[in-house]
Amino acid sequence: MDGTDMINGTERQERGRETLVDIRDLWVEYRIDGGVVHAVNGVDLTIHKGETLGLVGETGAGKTSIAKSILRVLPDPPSKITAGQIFMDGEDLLQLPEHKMRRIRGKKISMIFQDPMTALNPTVKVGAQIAEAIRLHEKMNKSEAAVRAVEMLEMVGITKERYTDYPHQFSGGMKQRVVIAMAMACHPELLLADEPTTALDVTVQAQILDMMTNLKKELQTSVLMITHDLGIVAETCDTVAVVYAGEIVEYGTMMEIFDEPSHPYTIGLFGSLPSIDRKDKRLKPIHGLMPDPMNLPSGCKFHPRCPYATEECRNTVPRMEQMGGSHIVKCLKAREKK
Amino acid sequence: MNEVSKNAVPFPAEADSDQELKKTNQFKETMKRLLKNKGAIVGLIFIILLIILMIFAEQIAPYNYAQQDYTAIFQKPSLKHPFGTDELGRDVLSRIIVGSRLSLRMGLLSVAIAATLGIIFGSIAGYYGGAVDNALMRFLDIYQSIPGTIFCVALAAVLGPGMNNTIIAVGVTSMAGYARLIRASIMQVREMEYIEAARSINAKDSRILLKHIIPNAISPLIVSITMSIGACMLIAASLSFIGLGAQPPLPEWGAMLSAGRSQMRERGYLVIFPGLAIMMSVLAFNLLGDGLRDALDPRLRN
Amino acid sequence: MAPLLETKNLKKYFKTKAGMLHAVDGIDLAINKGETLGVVGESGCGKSTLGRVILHLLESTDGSIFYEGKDVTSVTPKELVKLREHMQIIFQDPFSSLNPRMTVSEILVEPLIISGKFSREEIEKKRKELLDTVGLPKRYANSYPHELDGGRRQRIGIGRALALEPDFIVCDEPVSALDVSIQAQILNLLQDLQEERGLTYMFITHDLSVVKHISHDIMVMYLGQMVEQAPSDELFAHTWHPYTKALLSAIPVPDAHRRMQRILLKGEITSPVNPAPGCRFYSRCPYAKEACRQPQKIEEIAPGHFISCCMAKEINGLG
Repeated sequence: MDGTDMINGTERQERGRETLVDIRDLWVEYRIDGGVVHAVNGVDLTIHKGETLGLVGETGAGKTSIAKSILRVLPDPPSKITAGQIFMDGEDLLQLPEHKMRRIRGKKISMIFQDPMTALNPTVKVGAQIAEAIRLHEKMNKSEAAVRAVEMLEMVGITKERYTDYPHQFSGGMKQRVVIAMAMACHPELLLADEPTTALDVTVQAQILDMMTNLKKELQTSVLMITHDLGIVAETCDTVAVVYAGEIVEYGTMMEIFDEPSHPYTIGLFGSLPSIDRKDKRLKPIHGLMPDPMNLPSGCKFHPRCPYATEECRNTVPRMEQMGGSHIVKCLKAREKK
Repeated sequence: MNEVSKNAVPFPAEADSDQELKKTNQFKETMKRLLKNKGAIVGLIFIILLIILMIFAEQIAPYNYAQQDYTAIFQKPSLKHPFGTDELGRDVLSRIIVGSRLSLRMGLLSVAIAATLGIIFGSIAGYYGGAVDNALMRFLDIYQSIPGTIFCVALAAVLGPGMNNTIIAVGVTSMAGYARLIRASIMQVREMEYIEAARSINAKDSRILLKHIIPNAISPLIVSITMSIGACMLIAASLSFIGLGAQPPLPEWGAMLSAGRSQMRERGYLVIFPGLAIMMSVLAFNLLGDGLRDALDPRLRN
Repeated sequence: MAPLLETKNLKKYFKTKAGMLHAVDGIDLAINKGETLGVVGESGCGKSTLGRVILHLLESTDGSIFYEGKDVTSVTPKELVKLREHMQIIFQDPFSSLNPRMTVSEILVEPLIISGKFSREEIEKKRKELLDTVGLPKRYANSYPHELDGGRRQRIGIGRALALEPDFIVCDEPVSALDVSIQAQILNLLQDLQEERGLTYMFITHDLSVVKHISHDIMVMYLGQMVEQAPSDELFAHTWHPYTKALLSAIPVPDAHRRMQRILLKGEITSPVNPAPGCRFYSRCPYAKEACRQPQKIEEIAPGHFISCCMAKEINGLG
C-alpha cells in the first residue's frame, strides 16, 4: 500500500463518481423486553462504484445494523427496518420480494464478518464450500465451479493443494482468506466487510488488508468497511462516515476527515488514540459513555459528552452542515468553530 | 443485537445524584424475570395448587379415598362423583387428590436423592479433574450403559416393591445425569478469569468453590432438577403401573392407572383422570423449569 | 538502583499431545520501581503466560524470579500469601474476570476480607476509597457487573487489584476489549495511579501504540522468547530486529499522509511445540540465512538495547 492508491481515489472523484448504493433516511429499531432500541436513526449514505467507504464508530453505534439492512439479513423479530430506502441499480432493495433478494445476496452484494469461523461449515472442505457458493448463483457445472473456486483461492493467496482441506486445518488469517474468497467468488459489486481483521494479529491483519486492497482493485468491487480502527480507515478507505448513536455525524473523503475532523466526536476519537509518532503525556478521552440506545438524549445525541455543548445543542437536532467539498458535519457549532 | 445490549447503560447518568443505591435482591430479581414468562406462571400456579392439594388432601377430598361403597361401583362421572368411582366404589377424584401426596413425594424425594449423589460425584470430578475425574466418569459410563428402566426395575425388584424402595431406585438410576451436568458446569466456571482473579487475591480452595464456583455453576442444575421432578414422577408412576411401586390400596397415580387398565375400554375415566393428573404435573414442572432457565441467567437481563 | 522485579532465564513449558510447548522460554527481564515494562507480541507469543508465571498463578518450569532482590521462585503457601499482597493482576476481559453473582462492593473488598487484617470499619472505609480511586460513581456500589459497561467493569478489576495496595501490577491487555474512547480513560487512570502511588507495571499488550504510550521499557516477544528489548523511545527510534520492524510496519497508522514502507511477513505465527534450536522467527523472516538456524545470542547493541538476531547488523547496514 502506498500513496498511489489514494491519488487514484482523488482522481476518480474529480472525474465524477458513479453511485452504486444509495441509502436514504434509514431507520432501524430492535424491540426487546422493556423497550425499543433505536439502532439506526435516519441514515443517508452513498456508496460509490469502485470505492471503499469506511463506517467508523464504537461498539453499539449501529454500524453493523446499517450493513445488515443493505443485505436485508437483520433478524425480524426483534429488529425492524421502520423507514427508509436503499437503492441499487434503480431498485429499492427494501421493497424487493424475498426471492429476488436471495439472488442479490452473495451475487451482487456479499458480506464478511469478524469471526471467519461462523461463515464456514466445519464439515465441508473449503474448496467445495466456495464451489457451492458459486453454483448457487452461476449456471455452472461442478467442474467449472471447482475451477473458479481454485482461481479464487489463489487470488486470496491460498495454494490449490489446500482445496481439499477442512476449515479447522487453517489458521485464523487463512480462514478469513477463505471467507473472502467465498464472498468474492461471484464477483459482487459490493462487499460489506464487518470488522474483517479485528480478530487477527497485526502482522496477519496487514496481510489481509493488503490482499483485500489488491482484490478490490482487480475486481473493481465497492467495499463498505466497518471498523473501529482509524488506522485501517486511513489505509483502506476513500470516503469515511463516522457513526454515533445510529446517526452519521460526519461524512467526507478520507483526506477531509483526517485533515480537518470537524465533529467533536470525531475529534474526540482522534484524541483518544495513543500515537506511535508523538509522545503525549496524557490522552484526551471523550468524557462519559455511549448513550443508552433505548433512551437517547434530546437534541444533538452527542451533547451530554460534548465539550462545546450549549443549551441550544440540548434542544435542537442539528442538520448536516456543508463544510466544503463533500465534507458534511452534523453539528450546530461546526461552522462557528471553523 | 449484541452490540446494543452490551452498552445498555443508564444515561445521562453522570449528572444524577450520586448516592449508593441499595443492593438488588437477586432472588427477587429472578422471580421478577420468571413472572414475565407466561408458561412459567402457568406451571407455577399449577404447582402451588398441587401443593395446596397435597397439604389439605383430606379436607378437600369429598370422600375418604379408601372408603368402599359397593352400592356405587363403576359409576360414570357425575355431579356426585365428578371423576366416577372404581371397582370398589371408591371416589376417583378423592383418590387422585390424596394420591397427589404420594406422587409428588415420589418425584421430589427421588430427585433429591439423585441430585445429592450427582452433586457429590460431579463436583469432585469437575473440581479435581485429571485422574479422579477420569475414574469417576468411566464408572458413570458403565453405570449409564445399563438401560435405566431395566436397572430401576431390577433394583426395585431386589429391594422389594413399595414406595420407599421405588424412590431409592429412581433416585439412584437418575444420578448420573446430574453428575455429568454439574461436572460440565463446574469445569466451565473453573476456566473463567474470575477464578484466577480469586486465586490471585489469596482465596482458599474452599472459598473459591463455595463463593465463586458453585453459585455460578448451580443454575443449570436448578433448572434440571425442576424438570426432572416431572420425569421422576413419570418413572415412579411407571414402576407403580407395573406393580413395583406403591401397593394397593394406596392411591398413587401410576398404581391407579394400572388398576384401571383392565377396564380401559369400557370405563375410560378410570385411566384418563389419573393419566391427566400425571401429565399435567409433569408439564407444570417442565414449564417452570424452562422459565427458570431464562430467569436464572443474570447475563440475559434486560 | 536495584530493580523491583527481575526474572532470570524464566521458562514455562506445557505438556501437550503434540509435544512440549515452550510457552515461555528463557526470559530475562528487570523492572525498576515506579516504571512500566511493556511486553508486546502477537497471540501465542507467551506474554500472558509470562505474567501468570511471575504471579505464581502458573508454576515456572525453570529459571528464577526475584522480587526486591529476594528469590521468590519457589515459595511456601504462606510466603505466597504475603507475596500476593505486593503483586496483583488486572485481566483482559472485563466480562469474564468478574464473578457475575457478586456486587461491585463485594468484589472490591474481597481481597481485604480474605487477608483477615482489617476490621469491619476499615473495610467499609477502604471500600469507599476504592470506589473513589478508580472513579466509580457511588450509585454503582451495589450493582452487579453485568449491569455496567466494559469501561466501568474494568475499573472494578483495577480496584480489586489495588485493594491490598500492591507495589507491582501485571496488566494483562487491560484495554484490548474496550472501545477507543473508553480505552483512553482507562489508560489515563492507570497512569494517574502510577504517578500517585509509585506503582510498577508490567503491561502486556499486542498494541504497539498503546505500549509506546505507557511504557518506559519495551520487550518484544516471539514464540516464547525475547527478540528485542529497549527503552521505549530507543526502540521506536532504532528498531533492529526484523520481527519488530515488521510488527511496527504492520500497524495501520491513523494518518492520511503518512505511509510506512510495509514489510509483509509470510505465513502466520505457529506454536512453539518442540521448537528447533535456532531463531524462532526463521520461517517468516525475510532475511533468514543459514546462520539463523543456530541458537541465537542476546546482544546489547546499544546501552539498554538488547536484541536476539545474528543478522541484525547486516540488515541494518552496519555489517
